[in-house]
Amino acid sequence: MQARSIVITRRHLGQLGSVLLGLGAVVALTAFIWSLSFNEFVAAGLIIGGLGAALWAAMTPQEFKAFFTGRQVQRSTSAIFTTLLLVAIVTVFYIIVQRAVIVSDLTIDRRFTLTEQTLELLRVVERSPRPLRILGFYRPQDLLQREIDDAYWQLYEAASNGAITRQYVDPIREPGIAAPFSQALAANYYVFVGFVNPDGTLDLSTVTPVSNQATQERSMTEAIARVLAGGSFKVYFEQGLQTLDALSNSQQGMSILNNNLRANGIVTDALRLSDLAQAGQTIPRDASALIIARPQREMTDAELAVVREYVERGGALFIAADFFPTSDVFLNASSPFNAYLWETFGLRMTDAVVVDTRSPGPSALHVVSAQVVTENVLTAGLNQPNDPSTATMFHMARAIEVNPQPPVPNGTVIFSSEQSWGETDTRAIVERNEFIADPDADLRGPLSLVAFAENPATRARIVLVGDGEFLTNGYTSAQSQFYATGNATLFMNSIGWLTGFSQQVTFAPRAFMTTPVLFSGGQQLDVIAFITLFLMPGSMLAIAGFIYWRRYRAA
Amino acid sequence: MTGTPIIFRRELAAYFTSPVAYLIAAAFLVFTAITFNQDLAFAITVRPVDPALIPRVLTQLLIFIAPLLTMRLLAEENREGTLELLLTAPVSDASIVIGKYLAAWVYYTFLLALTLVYQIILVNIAFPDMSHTLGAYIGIWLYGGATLAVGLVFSALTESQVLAAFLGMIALLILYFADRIGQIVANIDLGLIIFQLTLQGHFIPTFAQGVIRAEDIVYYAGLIVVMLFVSIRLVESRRWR
Repeated sequence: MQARSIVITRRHLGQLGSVLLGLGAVVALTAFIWSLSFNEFVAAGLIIGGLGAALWAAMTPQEFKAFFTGRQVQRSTSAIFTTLLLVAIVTVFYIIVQRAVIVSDLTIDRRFTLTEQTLELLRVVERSPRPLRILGFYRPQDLLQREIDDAYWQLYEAASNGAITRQYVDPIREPGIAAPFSQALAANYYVFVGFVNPDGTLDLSTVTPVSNQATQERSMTEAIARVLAGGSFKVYFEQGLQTLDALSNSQQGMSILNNNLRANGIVTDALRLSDLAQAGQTIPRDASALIIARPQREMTDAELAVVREYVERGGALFIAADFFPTSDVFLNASSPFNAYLWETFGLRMTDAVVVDTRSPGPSALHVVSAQVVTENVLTAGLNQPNDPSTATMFHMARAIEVNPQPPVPNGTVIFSSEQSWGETDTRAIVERNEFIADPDADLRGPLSLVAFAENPATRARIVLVGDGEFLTNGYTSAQSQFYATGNATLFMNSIGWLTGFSQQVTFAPRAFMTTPVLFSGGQQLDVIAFITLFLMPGSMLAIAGFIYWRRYRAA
Repeated sequence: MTGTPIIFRRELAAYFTSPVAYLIAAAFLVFTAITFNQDLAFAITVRPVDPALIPRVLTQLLIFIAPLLTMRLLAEENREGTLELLLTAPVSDASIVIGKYLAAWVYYTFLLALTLVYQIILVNIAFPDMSHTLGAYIGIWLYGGATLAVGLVFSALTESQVLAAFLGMIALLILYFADRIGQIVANIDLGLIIFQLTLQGHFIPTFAQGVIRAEDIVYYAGLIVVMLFVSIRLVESRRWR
C-alpha cells in the first residue's frame, strides 16, 4: 500500500491566514463590546488577526489584493456601508423619539397616566428651589423591572419639566452609593426620592423610600409629598414620666418607630413636662404632636397644667398608657388627667385589663385587634385579609371608656372580641396569673382598646391606646417573636392623623373598573372550551382537508 | 415598486390556497386556546383576566412560527431557480422582497385576527379592559412584523428552506433571550443597550401593560426596514456575484 502524504501548499497557508484574520477580528470586537475597554483579550484578538493578515498577504498576495479591491468586494462593501448608514439613521431617529417621551396610555383606568392630584404636586415641585431625584437600585438581573418602572418614573420627569430627574444604580457595582440604603434595600425598598444638593449629590437627610406596591403612582406621589413636607412637622417624645426611651435600641426602647417617623420626613425631639413646668414654660409652638409612650407614674398638677395649655391651643396628644401594678399608675381611676380627658374628649382609661380568650396570641392577655372600625386614616392597612401580621398585638392592655354622648366627636378605632372581658381583679393576674370572668365585677366585651377624639373648634386631637408595650422594639422589630406589622402601622397612622401629615401626603386611592370573570354556571366553561379547543381548530383542519381533496381531484 | 402588488397578490394566494397554511392556523389555534382556557379556569371569580395574555404567549410562539412562514419565500425560489426568472422580469428586487414580505405579514394578521374570538368570549362573561387588549394586539402585530422580517433575511441568504428556518429561529431566540444575556453582563450600561435591542424589551414593559410608546413603534418599524433592506441587498447580490 502506498502511504498518502499531506502536502501543505501556499494556498492552504493563505486560507489559514484569512481564517485567523476573521477569528482575531471577532475575538477583539467581542471582547471590546463585552468589557467596553481595551483589555488583554482585545490585544490577543488584534495580534491573531494581524498575524493572520500577514500570513495571508505573504502566501497568496494576489488573492489578498483581490479580496479588498475586486468588483464583488466593492459591491458588498457598498451594501454594508449603506446598511450601516440606514442603521445609523434609524438609531438617531429612535433616540430622538425616545427623548421626546411620547406615550399613549390605553388602559381603561388610565393606570399609566398621572392624575390631576399628582400633576398638581409636580407643579409645586417645579416651583421648588431644590430639584428632586428618583434614585433606583437595580441589579443587572432586574433590568426588566427597571424598564417597567422607568416607563412610569419618566412621566414624573416629563410632567415636572425636569425638576425631577432619575438615577439608576447597580448596588453590586457601586456599593458605596448603596451603603447608606442597605437597611432599606434589605427590607425590599429599592426606589427612593429626595432633594438634590447644589453639587449634584443626593441630600441623604431628605431621602424617603418609595413602597414597592402595584399602585406605583400612589407610592411615588406620596413619597414626593413626604419629601416636600419634610421638616415642617415636628413631634416631641415626653421623656420625664419614665416613658419609653425614643433613642434606645433595646427591646424596651422605641428607636424603631422613632426612626420610622424620621424616615418619613417628620422631625422628632424630646421634652420633659416636669422641666417645662418648673421653668414656667409651655410646650414648644412647633410641636405638631406630643407622644406620651408608656409612662410609669401619674402627672403632677403642674405637668397637667402644661398639657392643658397645649391642648387648649389645639395641640395633639398620642397617649399609650400601660397597666402597672402600682398605686401611682398613669391615668388611674382617681387621676385628674383622666378626669380632664373625660371632660374634654369624652374618653378615659379604666383600670381593667382586657382578657380575650379568642385571641390567637400567645396567651389570652395578648390581645390581637379583633375588630377594626370602618376604614379610615387611622385604620388604613390594619387587619388586611389573609395577612394576620397586619393586626395589632397588645399585652395586658387596659380598656378605654368612650362616652356615647361626648363633648366633641370621638370614637373607637379597635375593639377586642365579643368573648373578651375587662378583668378588674388585676392583683389575681399579677400574683397568680389568674383571670376568670366575673359578670358582676368585670367589664363585658367587646372593649375599646384604641380611641380617638377631635375638638373641631380648637382642632385639638387625641389618640388614646390602652397599651404602651406595643410601641417597644420588642413588638415592632421583625426579629421579635411578638412582631406584628399592625403595631407600627397604627402608630404611624395615628401620628399622621394627629399632625395633619397624612392629610398633606395622602394620595386618594383610585378605583379600578375591570372585574373578575363570573359564570352563571360551570357548563359555560365547557362550551367555551369546546368552541376554542375543538370547533375553531377543527374548522381550519376541515378547510385544509377540502383544499387538499380539491387539489387531489384536479391532479 | 409597481411590481409589489403583483408579487403580493401571488404570494397571498399561495398562502390561502395551500392546505399547509390552514394546518399551521389549526396548530396555532390549539396552542393559544389551551393557554386561554387555562387562564380562564384560574381567573374565575378571583381576578380579572390578563388582557395581554394571548399577545404575551405569541412573543414565544413567533420564534418558531415566523421562520416557518418565511422560510420558503425566497429560499424555495432560489432552490428551484425561479428567482432567476423573477430577477429578469420587469420588477425591482425591492418589489419582490417587499411584496413577499407583505403577504407573509397579512397571513400573520389573519392568524392574529382568529384569536380575537377569545376577546369576544371575554366581553360576554366579564368586563375586561379592551383598550389594554387593543394596545397589546398592536404591539404583537408589530412584533410579528419584525420577526417575519428577520426570518426573510435568512430565506434570502440560503437555498435550503430548513436551514433558513433553523437560522431564523436561532436569530429570533437570540433577539428574544438577549435581555437575559444583558442581565449577566457585569456592565449594566452595556446590559441596558443589549436589552434595548431585544424584541422583548420593547413589548413587555409597554405594549403588554397597555401603553404605547413611540420609541417602541420606531424600534419595530426600524427593525423591519433594516431587515428588508438587508434582504433586498442579498437578493441584489445575485446580480454581481
